[in-house]
Amino acid sequence: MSDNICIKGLTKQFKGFALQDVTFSVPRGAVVGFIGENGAGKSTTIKSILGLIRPESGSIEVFGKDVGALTKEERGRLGTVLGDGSLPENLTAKDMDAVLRHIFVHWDSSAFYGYIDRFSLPNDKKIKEFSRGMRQKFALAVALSHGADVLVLDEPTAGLDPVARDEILDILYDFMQDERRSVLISSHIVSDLEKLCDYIAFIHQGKLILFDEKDALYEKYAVMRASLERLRDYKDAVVALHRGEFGAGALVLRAKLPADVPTERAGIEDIMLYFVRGEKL
Amino acid sequence: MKGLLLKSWKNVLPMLAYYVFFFVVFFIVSAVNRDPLYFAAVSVAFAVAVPLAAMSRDETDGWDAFAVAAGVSRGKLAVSRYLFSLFCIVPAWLASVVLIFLAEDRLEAVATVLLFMGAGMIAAAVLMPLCFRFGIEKSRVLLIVVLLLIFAAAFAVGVLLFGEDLGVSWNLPLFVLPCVVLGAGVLAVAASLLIGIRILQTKDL
Repeated sequence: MSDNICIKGLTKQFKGFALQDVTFSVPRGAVVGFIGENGAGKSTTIKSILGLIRPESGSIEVFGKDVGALTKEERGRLGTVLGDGSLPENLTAKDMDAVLRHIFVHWDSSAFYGYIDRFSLPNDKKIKEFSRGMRQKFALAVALSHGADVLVLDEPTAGLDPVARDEILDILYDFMQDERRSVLISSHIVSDLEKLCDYIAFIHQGKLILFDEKDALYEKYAVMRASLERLRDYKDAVVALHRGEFGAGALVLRAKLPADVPTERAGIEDIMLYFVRGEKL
Repeated sequence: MKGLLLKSWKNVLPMLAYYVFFFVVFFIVSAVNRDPLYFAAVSVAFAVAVPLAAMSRDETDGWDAFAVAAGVSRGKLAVSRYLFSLFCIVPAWLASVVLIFLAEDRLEAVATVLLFMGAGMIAAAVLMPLCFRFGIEKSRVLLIVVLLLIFAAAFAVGVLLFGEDLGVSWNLPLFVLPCVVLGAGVLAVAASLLIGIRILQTKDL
């Protein structure tokens, strides 16, 4: 399986924050969920992929080509939803159609209006009058209307109610019916990503902690609840632990635990929380 | 480019009524007084206020990030801002030409219009790189500071050339000062365009 996006050794220094040696890829036909707490470096990474910020070192290839060398047409194959909206709020859907047909090489007005209808969005209302959910759907309609093969979505479901989130996930399922396509999606709502994603990239304090297939993560990690003494018996298996009032919970490596030791399934959220808040044994 | 200009135009459309109002009022004032001075002076504000409004909207919307992600080159994005400013100021210049024909002293009217055309270009040329570099809010203040510095520098040069009694300068041929300011305006816009493109090309969006 080849990669639609390939990031190697991405480094970017800001005042008080640094993205350090981030390496992962977005394989063709796959949805990659990009998780991490606020300020972990998700948006910086996404902006680097889109050529909005210039990393100090590392490389980013999109469709096998350096991101800086993409033609306008190739850039049109990348659909984006940026976390802060980034669409002109004084414009209506009709206005946006008139503007974007001059911006994207393969802008498809009929597809755009198709999505506008499907999402029940008004044609003549200004974007600033839209609710948060409507804006996100509108941004997604734009991203899906110019022949994109890869969607790069920064928090597209943030602030949405479960129904609106589910609608957006449905759209992404539909998009992924073509297996040449890929999605890179960042979100705080890990349950959404668990439903949708094939791979998980987890970033913490500017460093990529893990990048693996979702199912491989389920196989690799488990949660073990026991006393500290008992956890110490399996020290090699414990990745991180969290002390509680009545014992402790630990994220453990299944492969290093005897088969008869009882464990619970570790969800993506568990894995993330143990890595961020857990302590070493 | 067409898409970028169209977006800016549609973005300022809701505010356009205010500008049209000032445009008409000062046009009438100049026409009645048969002197383009009032309107030409206000045209400098048009060169700054309308593009500033459009850029302020873009900044709030985060448009630059979307446009660059969509494949618009940073150079094109910068050029579109200058072109939009030009489109904002051209109607004022055309109206000034009409006022020249209505003026009592047409030669003096031409000189006045040329002077303020140059001043408008200088103001826009200063504004753009400031906005690209520092954002709109800081640039509003910086623009005033920079224009005051330019005015002070021009005054100092005037004193150096003509002595402390600057009144002498008014004995210069009518078109010297307007042509100098206009020439400075053209050069300032050219330099500003290069600087503006450079700033946007290196800026994190």
